[in-house]
Amino acid sequence: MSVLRTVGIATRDQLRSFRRAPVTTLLAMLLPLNLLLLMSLFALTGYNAPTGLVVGEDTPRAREFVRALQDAHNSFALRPMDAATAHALLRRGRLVAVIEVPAGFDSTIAARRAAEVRLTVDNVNLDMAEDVRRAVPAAAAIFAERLQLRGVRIHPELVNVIDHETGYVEYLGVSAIALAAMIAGGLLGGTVVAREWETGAARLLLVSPAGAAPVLTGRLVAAGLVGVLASVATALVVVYGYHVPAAHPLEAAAGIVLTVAASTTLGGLLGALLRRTLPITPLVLGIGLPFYLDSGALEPQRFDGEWLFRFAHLSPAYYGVGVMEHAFHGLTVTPEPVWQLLAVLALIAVVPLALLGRVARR
Amino acid sequence: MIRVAWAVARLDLARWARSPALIAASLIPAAGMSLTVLALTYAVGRQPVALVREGYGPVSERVVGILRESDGFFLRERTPEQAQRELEQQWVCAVITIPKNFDEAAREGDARLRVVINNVDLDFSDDIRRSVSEAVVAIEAPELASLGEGEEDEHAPATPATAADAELDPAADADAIPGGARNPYKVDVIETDLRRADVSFLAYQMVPVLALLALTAGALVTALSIAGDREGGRLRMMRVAPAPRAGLVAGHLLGGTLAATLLLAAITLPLAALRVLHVPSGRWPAVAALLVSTAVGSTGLGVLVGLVTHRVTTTVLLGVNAASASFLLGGAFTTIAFLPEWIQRIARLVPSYYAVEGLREALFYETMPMFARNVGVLTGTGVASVVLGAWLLSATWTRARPTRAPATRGRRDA
Repeated sequence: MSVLRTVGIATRDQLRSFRRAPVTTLLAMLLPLNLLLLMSLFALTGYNAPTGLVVGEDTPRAREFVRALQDAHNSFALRPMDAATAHALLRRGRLVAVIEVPAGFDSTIAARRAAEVRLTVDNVNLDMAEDVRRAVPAAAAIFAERLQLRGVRIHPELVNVIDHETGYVEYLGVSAIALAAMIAGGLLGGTVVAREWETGAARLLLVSPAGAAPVLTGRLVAAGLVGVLASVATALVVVYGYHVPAAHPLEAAAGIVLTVAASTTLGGLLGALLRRTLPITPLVLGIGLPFYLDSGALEPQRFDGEWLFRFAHLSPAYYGVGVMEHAFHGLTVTPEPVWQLLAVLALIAVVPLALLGRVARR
Repeated sequence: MIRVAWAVARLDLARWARSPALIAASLIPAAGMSLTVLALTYAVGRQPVALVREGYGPVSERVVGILRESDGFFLRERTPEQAQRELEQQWVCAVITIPKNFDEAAREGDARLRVVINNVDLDFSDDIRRSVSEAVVAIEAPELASLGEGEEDEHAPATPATAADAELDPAADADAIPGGARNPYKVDVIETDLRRADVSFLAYQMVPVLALLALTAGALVTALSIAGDREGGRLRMMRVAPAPRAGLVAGHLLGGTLAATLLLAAITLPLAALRVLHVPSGRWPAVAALLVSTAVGSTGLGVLVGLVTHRVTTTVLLGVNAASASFLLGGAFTTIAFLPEWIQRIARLVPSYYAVEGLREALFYETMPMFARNVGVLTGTGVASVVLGAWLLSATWTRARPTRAPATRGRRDA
């Protein structure tokens, strides 16, 4: 029997197995989708800090200051309310800050004096507190520029490299497709291979004339196909749910297929090493999530320093995220070109396959 | 019933302690999440920015000083060519240029600080924009741009003190504030912080990791134990044993809770000793109550997952799906109160929401108005899981009860 035929039979057999256990297969497909939706929660609080706004007067300058706060680089989700409610909500952790524009704000500025604005910050989360502290001076600068206040002599001239802005949720959503591909591929690949040892089938495979490798490869091909299906489902949620169309659909497809392939074979190798299904899912998730966040999922990875940048190259997530961000948003988030990222993914997909037979014979 | 429950609990604990795979399954997700939080701490910190200096007057000098002190970015001085190259190769995310005529332009009232930003996504590019604006404001109104910088800065001189200030602050300035301070932005900000010291991102985000530990140790281990009993046929044997169903389920709840509590204690106490986890004085009993009730609630979830699944693989997948959903909806990497109302409503259905809220309240807030509710919901989840679990077990066994064999097939069945 030719090797290819053995691979084909093992693939069909594994696909039948997946069909026979629809709940398990569905749960494996649900996990990446689950992670996409839940990681989006992180992105949702990445900017526009909920801020209580207490305005003591309705005057042109007070309105202009509020407008400046609104335009201060997506810093505040302003919620107008009275002072008592605002401070009560702040103390209960429902707001990041309270900004109070006092009565007399307009007349003080008209008298060419500086009006006092009160800022109360819940500094329980340094990241958000710092964003608010930086945003208030930024709003003051916008306010002064719009009112053409005399005396401001230095102005920032902000120039964007890219002609369009990409929202954080949209950016993170696209990178989560690579996460989906990595998790789905990894856990399915690991589980189908480890199961061979749990059921005792591996012993039989080792004495078969074709050896264990073709059968395990076939199992991994089937796992990869289901992994692709799970990743495509996640991608469709991003395209239709998050309204992010793919700028380069073929590149997106290649990215999904190769990220799944690389993760599936790596998962398969893990399964062959552990030979137990139980730790596969926690291990894939436990390793996958940190690698995902260290992959350019939140911003180009090199911005986080050389050490983390080098470390990121160990995981398919880095290459997958690089391809996906380019395929969907046209963004370049890695120094390497897209073809190189795809080539590395293909290489990662092939190398564990070559090692699988040897590991199985241990 | 107590004897049965204790026997089942001891068995679960022994199985957990003897299985490296189970211990790994409990610890790996929490260890992974801790690493994730560490990675996030880097990601939300300072950004690398290149500075190109073409002007060298006193005002330029002061701008450079302020930019260097900014905690929004790491500044690297580069030539224009180097900066451009590093921007393209992503060594830096922005380039700030101080042009040649910067000082003269500042004297004439129209100096421009050119900032080219690699605006790949809004989150970090807005961070850069805010930091640059803050730095620019600091040049002419230092008091306005020193928010959150502590007491020593509150008393910083409001009047110009350097040559650059003199350049920017001619005595005849029409915008001068009586008293000598000059604030052309006409807005002064008086900042009050709710707590004396800022809570670091790491400390704030490590709290949900404790909830995850309880979730994996309690929920996953208990679910796997029940599913293992079912797959190994032991659950069928228990059916004929003279043991109350509630006792069996309560035993699993007790075993999982003990395992999770032991693990939480083994992690929390060293973290507190190392001052990574700072528990305010007098709050230890509240924190302990919350951790134990988190273990109870998580284990309750595990009992249900174990009872509704039939294969260990399915149990792992459902358990991991439930644990990650609970972890992230509970407030991991985010603050649920800041999310849209409909997400908050979903989050309130998840026990870990009450665990994270309770722990954050106990660790970071002066009062704990939700303490009783949080502990109540978590413990209630455990109790409800015993009731529901006993019912599920009864329903499963009733469905599985063999019908009386027809008389004609009696001999073969025998």
